[in-house]
Amino acid sequence: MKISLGSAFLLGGAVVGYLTGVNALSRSGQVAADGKWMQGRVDPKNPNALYALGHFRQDGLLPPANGALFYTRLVDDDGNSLRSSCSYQLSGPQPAARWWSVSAGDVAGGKAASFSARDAVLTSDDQLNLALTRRAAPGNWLALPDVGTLRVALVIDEPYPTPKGGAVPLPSIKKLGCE
Amino acid sequence: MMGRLFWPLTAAFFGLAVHLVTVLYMPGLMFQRSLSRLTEGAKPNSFFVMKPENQSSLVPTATAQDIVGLCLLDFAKGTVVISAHVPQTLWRLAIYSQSGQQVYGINDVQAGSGGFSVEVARAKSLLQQITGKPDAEDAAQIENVGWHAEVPEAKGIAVLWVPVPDALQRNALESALKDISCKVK
Repeated sequence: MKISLGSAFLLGGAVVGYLTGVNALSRSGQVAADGKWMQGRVDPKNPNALYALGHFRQDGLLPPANGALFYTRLVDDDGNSLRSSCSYQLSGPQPAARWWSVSAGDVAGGKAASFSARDAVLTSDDQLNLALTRRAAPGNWLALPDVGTLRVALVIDEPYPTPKGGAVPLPSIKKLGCE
Repeated sequence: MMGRLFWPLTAAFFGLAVHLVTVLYMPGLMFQRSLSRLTEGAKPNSFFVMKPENQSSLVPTATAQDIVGLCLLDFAKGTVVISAHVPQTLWRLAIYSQSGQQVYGINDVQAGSGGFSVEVARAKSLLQQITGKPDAEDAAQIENVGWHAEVPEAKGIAVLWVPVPDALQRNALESALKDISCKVK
């Protein structure tokens, strides 16, 4: 009886240790930025940097290089999950940076299509309007891959001026309709 | 009293050990497995350009339109020197330790011209620093090759990221990047 009680304690400890580890890894490495966007980063000065590193490494990824801002988003402006069967309008000021790109793929970041600074046509006031849809659209168009639930990633490389406290203006994503 | 606390305390320590294994060991194992798959056939200390479809599986900020070059650093045989003449375009070289910590970075603006050379060595351990040669002698051994970086682990990864400003330039850029040298000094 004592042995089975001890085994139960050990098993319970192992389960709790594992679950808290997995939970800590999934929550680390991402900080909320401007509402619906999450910024993926590892701050070496943060005591939780080990967890943040683990967050990227468990997915086989290197953390974003210093100078590259990496944002991801899973929901539209209304808080609904992004889906490849729907059409969206990404709008906002052109990222003030040496380079930027927007990509859309599955929630793990795979099967992604991308649109970058080289492709963009801006409005006269430097606004970026980008159609995220499977159907061809006039102007800036990112053809969505057929992946079901979408993840949109925004990479801003070397923004200028250097943001203080991550105050980079990020675009909105508004749903236009679904098929 | 102690008897009643034995199993709860043992379970707590066991749980802590499992937690640490989950956050310290498992991510590294999964990363190495993924890296081995993505870089299958690649030799350590040699530069190669990744397949576009694999790039974002390692470098989350890269798209398939960008060019990503890698050098798997192994300091078992000594210091590694990365030398390149990159065409006039945007680029960034980041050097990571085996555990994923970025230890060095340089881009086209910081390099000034298209050419750069980085000497990457394994950092001395605390014991080596105490028992080793004085700094002045060490400094004399370092040739003036450009920049110098130290990685605190036995292995590392150098990642060169080059966004392609015009799709027509891709082949020319890729050809130029294949000439990058990454080898033991």
